[in-house]
Amino acid sequence: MAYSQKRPAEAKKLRVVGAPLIKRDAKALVTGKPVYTDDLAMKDCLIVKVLRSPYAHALIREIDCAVASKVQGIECILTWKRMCRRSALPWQDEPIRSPAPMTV
Amino acid sequence: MEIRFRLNGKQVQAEVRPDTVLLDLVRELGCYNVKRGCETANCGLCTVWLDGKPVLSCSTLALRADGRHVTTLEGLQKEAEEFGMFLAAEGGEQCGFCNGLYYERTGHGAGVKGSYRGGDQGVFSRKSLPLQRYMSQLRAVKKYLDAKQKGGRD
Repeated sequence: MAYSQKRPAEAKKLRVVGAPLIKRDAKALVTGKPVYTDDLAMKDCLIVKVLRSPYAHALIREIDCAVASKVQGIECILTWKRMCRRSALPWQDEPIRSPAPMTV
Repeated sequence: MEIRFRLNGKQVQAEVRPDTVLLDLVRELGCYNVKRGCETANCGLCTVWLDGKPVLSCSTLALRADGRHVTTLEGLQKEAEEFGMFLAAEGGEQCGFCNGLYYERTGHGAGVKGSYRGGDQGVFSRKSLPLQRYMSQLRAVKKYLDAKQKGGRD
């Protein structure tokens, strides 16, 4: 692989400074090896999907999971009903109760 | 529905639903280099060669592959490495998620069998490489194509 890059004269004396460096994992990345989570995930692992409201700035009054929970392969559906209301996380339209709301 | 096709030169058969897209099928068959990027035929990460022509596998039905040749980067390891090291030398491989498409686009533009037509601007036209056109990657493609032309390799 003929690769050359012009380096300033003073940098030529140095081995690392100013020298182009090829990443250690470059070969795996450029040849498309399965190195990402989705490539490595087990075939039978549970997959979490987040369903967001399709309406911006809408109030969610009710979440009906009756039909969705009958779909084959769905193990469980988590909504606010399954969450602890005393959580430190702020809910939509609620005042922030914790000084550090973004930490779980 | 059962389909038979050649995946990277190997005869395979698969049971697919009428709405299965080629992207899901090739990943199921172990070609993890084919990535699900935008899933809206914009980014090009899911590019595979169908009978030697780049197609977006996220918007190609698996049934269309029936009786045809599908090539992914898994079947182009030597070429991918040769081209990829040009990318790496320019720091253009980045996180690597979209690397697959670079060879599949550039390699096809460069002509796997024939001569290269259209110059690097041709390879990097919006149509052939929609995702990214960063300088490091442009440099890598240009150097690769120059080396190809000089070297006279196919």
